[in-house]
Amino acid sequence: MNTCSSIHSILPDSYFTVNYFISLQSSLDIFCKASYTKIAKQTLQRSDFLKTKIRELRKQQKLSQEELAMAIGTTRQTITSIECGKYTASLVLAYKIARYFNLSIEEVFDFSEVEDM
Amino acid sequence: MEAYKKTIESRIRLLSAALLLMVSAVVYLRFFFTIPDMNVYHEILTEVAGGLLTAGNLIAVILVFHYRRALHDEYHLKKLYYNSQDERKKMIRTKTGGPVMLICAILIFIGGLIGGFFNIMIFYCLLGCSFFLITVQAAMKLYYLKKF
Repeated sequence: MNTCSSIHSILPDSYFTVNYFISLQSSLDIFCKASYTKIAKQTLQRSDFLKTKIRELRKQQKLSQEELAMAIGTTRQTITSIECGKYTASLVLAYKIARYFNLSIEEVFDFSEVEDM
Repeated sequence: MEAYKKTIESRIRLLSAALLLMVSAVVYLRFFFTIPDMNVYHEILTEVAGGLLTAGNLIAVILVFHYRRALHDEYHLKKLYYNSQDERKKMIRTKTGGPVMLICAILIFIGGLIGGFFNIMIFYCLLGCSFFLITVQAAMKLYYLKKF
């Protein structure tokens, strides 16, 4: 009871406090929505990363990301990033992936956007 | 993989030596360390140093167990090796300043601990500096982990 009364004495009018938090929350919502939209647009427009067929090839052979990573000597997170188009694999890693699926690099990685540039 | 096994073995030896040193330092700080006209700040600094050394001991023990497990298990050894050689992780490590920033932060903190015995403000300043360095590195690491 004492704590409550002390909090009420510190805080301004309760009506004002509730309104203040509601407006703060709504402005935070607007800010988060704007940031999310911006990130989504950037991801869609991003053309400096290669598209790959690793996910399809993996699913054809019923391989998990972990198994593929261990087979080619990398980590699961790197495979995820390459599949999502967040990270462009080095020539050595691309060669290892292609060799694992018995394909050429061009068959695994899509270079059409690079050729257009 | 044999060369990496030897690296792991030497790491275990190094960690064990560090563990022994840190344990003796903790014992010395706890039971034998004393300076003339010791005040409350000196006691705080001694306790902080003791706590940090204990934390270091704990980390060293965990790492020794981790490496020992890898030595006896081929799958874990491979995983550890691939983790250390992964090109994406190497790139992120390079972009965030690698272990250099962390070493700098630790050295600054140790400097702060020593300097704190002369003036407590030195300890506070250098503590802030090292926390700032660690925070910046952690933030950069999170950013690059999300980006790539």
